[in-house]
Amino acid sequence: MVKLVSAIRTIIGLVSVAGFCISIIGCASGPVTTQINTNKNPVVGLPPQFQSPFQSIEKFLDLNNEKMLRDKLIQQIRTKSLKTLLNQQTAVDQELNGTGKLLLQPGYSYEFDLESFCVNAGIERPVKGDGLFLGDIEGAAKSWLPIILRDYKAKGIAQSDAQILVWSLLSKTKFDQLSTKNQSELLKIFPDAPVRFGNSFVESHATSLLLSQIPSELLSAKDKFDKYQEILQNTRLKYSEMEQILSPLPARAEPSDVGWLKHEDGYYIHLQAAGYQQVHVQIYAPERLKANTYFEPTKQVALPGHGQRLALSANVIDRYQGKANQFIKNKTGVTAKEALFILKHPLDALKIYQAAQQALKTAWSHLKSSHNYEDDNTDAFRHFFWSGLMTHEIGAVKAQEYLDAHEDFPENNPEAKSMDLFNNGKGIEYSSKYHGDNFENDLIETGLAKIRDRELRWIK
Amino acid sequence: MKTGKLVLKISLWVVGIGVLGYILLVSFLLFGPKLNSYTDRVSYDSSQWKTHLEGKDTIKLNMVDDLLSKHNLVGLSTKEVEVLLGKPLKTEYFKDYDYVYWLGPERSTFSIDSEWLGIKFQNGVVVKVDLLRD
Repeated sequence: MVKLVSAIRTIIGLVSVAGFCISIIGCASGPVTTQINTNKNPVVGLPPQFQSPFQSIEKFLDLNNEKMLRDKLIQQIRTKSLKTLLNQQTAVDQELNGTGKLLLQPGYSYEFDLESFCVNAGIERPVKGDGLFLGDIEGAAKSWLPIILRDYKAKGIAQSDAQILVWSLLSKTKFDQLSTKNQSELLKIFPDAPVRFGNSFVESHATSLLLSQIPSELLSAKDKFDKYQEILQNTRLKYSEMEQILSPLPARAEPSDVGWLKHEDGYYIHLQAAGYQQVHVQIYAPERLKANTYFEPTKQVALPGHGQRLALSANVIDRYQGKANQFIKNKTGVTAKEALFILKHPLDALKIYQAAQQALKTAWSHLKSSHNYEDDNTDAFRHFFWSGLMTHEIGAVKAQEYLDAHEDFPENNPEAKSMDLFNNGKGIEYSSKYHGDNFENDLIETGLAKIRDRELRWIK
Repeated sequence: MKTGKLVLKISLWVVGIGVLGYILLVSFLLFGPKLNSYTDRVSYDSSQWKTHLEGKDTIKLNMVDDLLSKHNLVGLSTKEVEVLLGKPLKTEYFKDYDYVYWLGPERSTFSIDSEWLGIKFQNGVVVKVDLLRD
């Protein structure tokens, strides 16, 4: 009997060890290890034949104000050229969005903005305008990352949710350790996710057996992954808080460009980051390019001289949608999403307006800021008080919807946005849990206490 | 028959007033503050601007549209900008710009954030001027 139990234990041990090894060697979660290799894709000068499609479109759009437009012939040429350029741009966007790759036509210039992902957690995100090198995806992530990058949009997964999946799998989070929401998102892309990404129970058995055999440098990497897993599994953290830790803002302001690269497939490419969620791509396909040469972003990683690696999706960001949103913000003072909220819930919007007026007055009277209206503690207090008051008036769900809409415009400063979202979150949290009978007074007192204890965020 | 007509009339009035109320409320929320800002506009005055580089009032916000319509800042030297607008207070925000002037609370219904004038120089010459919101 004793022998039988010992035999079973040995078998379980061996299965655990095998499971652990498979999870490391096999197609399970794990990091991207691509390094800069300028021999494969060397830096070259700007190809003189490249003509920026964005600049061409904007030039024709700018012609709108000039006297030349009085000439009917010029007007016709302008309309026709603009139509051709916009149609070509739409075709490129659709091909990338639909197939995940772009067939390059010799002699053509291409330009688009792609949604991108941080694949090197904990390292500063790139500055807007940072140049990027290019390399093939290498490491354990090669087996799953391109599939997520290609499919998340088609499966209805938002970029931020896909980023959480990417961070989780890069830090070797097992399927059963993901939140229910993330499990369901991952299953949309990988129906075999529970098998593919493994089980923490099996791993923990194997880990305890193997830990003594693992070299110390691998153990420190494991500690890092454990820390990231902890952050990603913390359901109380908002996305904006996670990104502050996993993709911190850079200390430097000046971008450093890399220049154009000659891709090993024969085309010229120029990549520039705009934060970690967007990469601007320019491509020139020379006349002598081999037939059937494709640009396949999801199989490559963009590598900045400074900062984290970025994985490229094939999802093109609609440049003109962003411009339209900014136009609405500049003309009316509210974002496109705020305008929609006002149209859908005008009475709630009126309460939000009244709350804003009250927040301004209260902040004036309670905080004597040395910097007046800047993004200092007065701003932090205003956001805390405003979000708390509106949650009290219209409920947490609508308040959250509205406050996210308020910050959603292309030119919003990322640092200020992240700070505002954090302080809004604190206001909503306080108001949702409030059970007293002197709400406004308590909200003011709590806001002031949070400023004193630095529980709200501001920069100064 | 008469009662039916009366009910219909009252219903139409109620619906009409409701629709009108909705339009008025939405118009106020979307465009009210922006229209207000047009009525508050004043002509740009360099000395007024410079004396209000610090302080809570929104005089710079009321002047900024006139300033931008009358002066093409792009191409001016740093010194010329300082003569026109003074040197702004230091801020950690909008690192893409070299000179950032706080103007006042943003011209919006939900005026919880601020509006700024951002100026970027290259080799001592203005290359970019933008109205910014945080």
